[in-house]
Amino acid sequence: MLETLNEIRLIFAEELRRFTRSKGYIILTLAVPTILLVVMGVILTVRAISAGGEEEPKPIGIVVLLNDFTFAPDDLQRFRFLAFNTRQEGIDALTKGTVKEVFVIPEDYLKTGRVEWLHGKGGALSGLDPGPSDTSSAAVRAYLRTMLAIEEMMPELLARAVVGATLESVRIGKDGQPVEEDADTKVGTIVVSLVSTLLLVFSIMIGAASLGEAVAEEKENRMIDVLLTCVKPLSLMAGKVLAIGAAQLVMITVWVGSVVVIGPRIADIISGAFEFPINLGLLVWVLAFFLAGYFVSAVIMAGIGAVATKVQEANQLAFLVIFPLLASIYVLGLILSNPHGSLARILSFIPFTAPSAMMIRLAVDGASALESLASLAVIVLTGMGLLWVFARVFRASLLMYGQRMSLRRVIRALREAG
Amino acid sequence: MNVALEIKDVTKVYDSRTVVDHVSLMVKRGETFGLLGPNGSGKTTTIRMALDIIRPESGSVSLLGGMPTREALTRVGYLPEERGLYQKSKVMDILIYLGRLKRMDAATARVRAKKMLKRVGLYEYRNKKVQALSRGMTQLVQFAGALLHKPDLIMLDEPFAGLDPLNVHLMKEILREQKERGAAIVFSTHQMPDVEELCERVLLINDGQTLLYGRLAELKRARGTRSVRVTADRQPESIPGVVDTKVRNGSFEYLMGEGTKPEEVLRAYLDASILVERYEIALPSLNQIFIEEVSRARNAK
Repeated sequence: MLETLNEIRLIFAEELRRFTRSKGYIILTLAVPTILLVVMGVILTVRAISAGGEEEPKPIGIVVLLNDFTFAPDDLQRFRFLAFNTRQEGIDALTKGTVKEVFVIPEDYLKTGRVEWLHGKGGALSGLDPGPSDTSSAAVRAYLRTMLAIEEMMPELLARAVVGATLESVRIGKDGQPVEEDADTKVGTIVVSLVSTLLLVFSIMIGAASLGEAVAEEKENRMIDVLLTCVKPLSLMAGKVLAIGAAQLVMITVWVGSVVVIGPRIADIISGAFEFPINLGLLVWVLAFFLAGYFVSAVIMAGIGAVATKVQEANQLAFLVIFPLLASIYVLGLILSNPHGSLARILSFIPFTAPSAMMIRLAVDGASALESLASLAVIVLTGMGLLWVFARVFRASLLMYGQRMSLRRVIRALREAG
Repeated sequence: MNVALEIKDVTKVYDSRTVVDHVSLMVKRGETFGLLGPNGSGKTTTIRMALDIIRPESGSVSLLGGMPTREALTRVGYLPEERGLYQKSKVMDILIYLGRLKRMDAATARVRAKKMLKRVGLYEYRNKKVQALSRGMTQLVQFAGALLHKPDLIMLDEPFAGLDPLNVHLMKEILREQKERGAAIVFSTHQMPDVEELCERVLLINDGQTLLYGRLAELKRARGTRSVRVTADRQPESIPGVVDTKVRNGSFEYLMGEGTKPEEVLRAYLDASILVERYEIALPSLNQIFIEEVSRARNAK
């Protein structure tokens, strides 16, 4: 067992090194952050030129409904506050764009410690948990501490003075009404799921397909013979699948990371460009299905490489994996319209279509946790089973020179392997 | 026991075609062994069975005194027939990887890789990508990779194919060094002069079946002394009992018929008053034996 793990580690390290050093991989990985940085740079440049760099930062709107709190003469200037008498006045100013955000200190603040933060921003590209800028929240907290210090301090308020406030985010829509987060979350989650499905297909097309091609190439030039005198077929295939999977994961992480980091900056510049928050729980599920989907596809691709006699043939056979994935994208509309329907359920338990079907169903609350776990188990177990099968078929296919691996030969190879 | 490789009665059947048919051989440590046969005769399949890349239907393989386990295989160096290395990888990286696969630590693998690259004259190419090398250079890199871990058994499938004479000479020199070190060497080839130069013992197979197996010198002697080579400025008009005559570089080579004695050639020259500069009874070349044996086997089918 330890020996097998050591073999897998060796193959994994080499494959990862070779794959991640290829020009194609580096260019693809850096493409998304580069494009985003260029877009941000262009927008900032255009803005700087058009505004002449003289734009004043907007004041912070504040509504104090607590009678005990007042403003000292220099508070408004010191904290860059623009005070409003009522919550509605604050919302109106926010809608008009006079202020970027409004903090409402309610009447029961001393009791609850809660402060409402009214704003117009949010969404996937603003990060998972949109919040006020450090400057504005620091200003509000500083003001509150000052007020609490002036008041006759009761022991139970001491802690409040330290914490300052617990901010409650309320997003105000363009119509001046609070936005229902649930509705937006759904839009956000569906978008995330759709993007993940497309990323999965894309990853398989470039990553797993190159894995199949690499195995076929090794077989064609007999490098595989040298490798198999050193490691077991199972270790070889597992190491390769894990390495290319890890490389693809790094690529996707860089892409998503750059969108999460750079996206909000762009969103801040173009205010209101992105308006949908997303659900962290869903992200975890999507990631799990993405990895499971990638695993099973990579194993099949490696298997195709093992049975193909030439690189060209491996590339042609790769379509067998990509087609079901593409097919599941075509039926996404049907899944979206009826996430609890028979078709959606069936597709959720076919290993090739399950990742994309489940990602969409989860986005529209169309699958229970139990169903999701069962689907995930089907995909992972299928991948592990196929890895076992292909490792055995691999040895049998090595004898063949320019001949295809028929089903009869596959069965015979498995029988001989015991 | 002093045996590096022992194959006993192995058979490999593929799609009802017997690729290797009850073949046996034994190679001692410190010995150079030639595996001969025409294209498609089963040489590569035999080597692959010896290395546990594929498994025989019947028979057994003993490698370095035991089963061909992963541990035993780490003491084997193998150069396959097709020359395949990762085209976009650097020479040094590949050699270190091959060393690591043979359970060397990275530092030792690097040191050995440098040493082997110097030995094959490719040290200055260590940071080049494989795709920048010629076919011969790639072959030498792969050869260096097979010897990196100082294997006890070296298996080479057509090692000299595609190499220029200088590189063939270099490779032979390195193989002699390996033999002196105590390593057993098994190689397959079509080049009979190479076998005569390097090997003590050979196995000749055709269509997966053994045609000849044993010490090269004994095999030659067993074929009889049916060839006579005479160096003279001309030859007699007729020599009784001669079935074939070849003229090479001023020498005449005569193949004697059954029952004819070699001295009858010399007598014919003396009777014709031709001055003989050199007269020798020649053992048949391995090439002759190869052609005769394979032709006979094919005609028998």
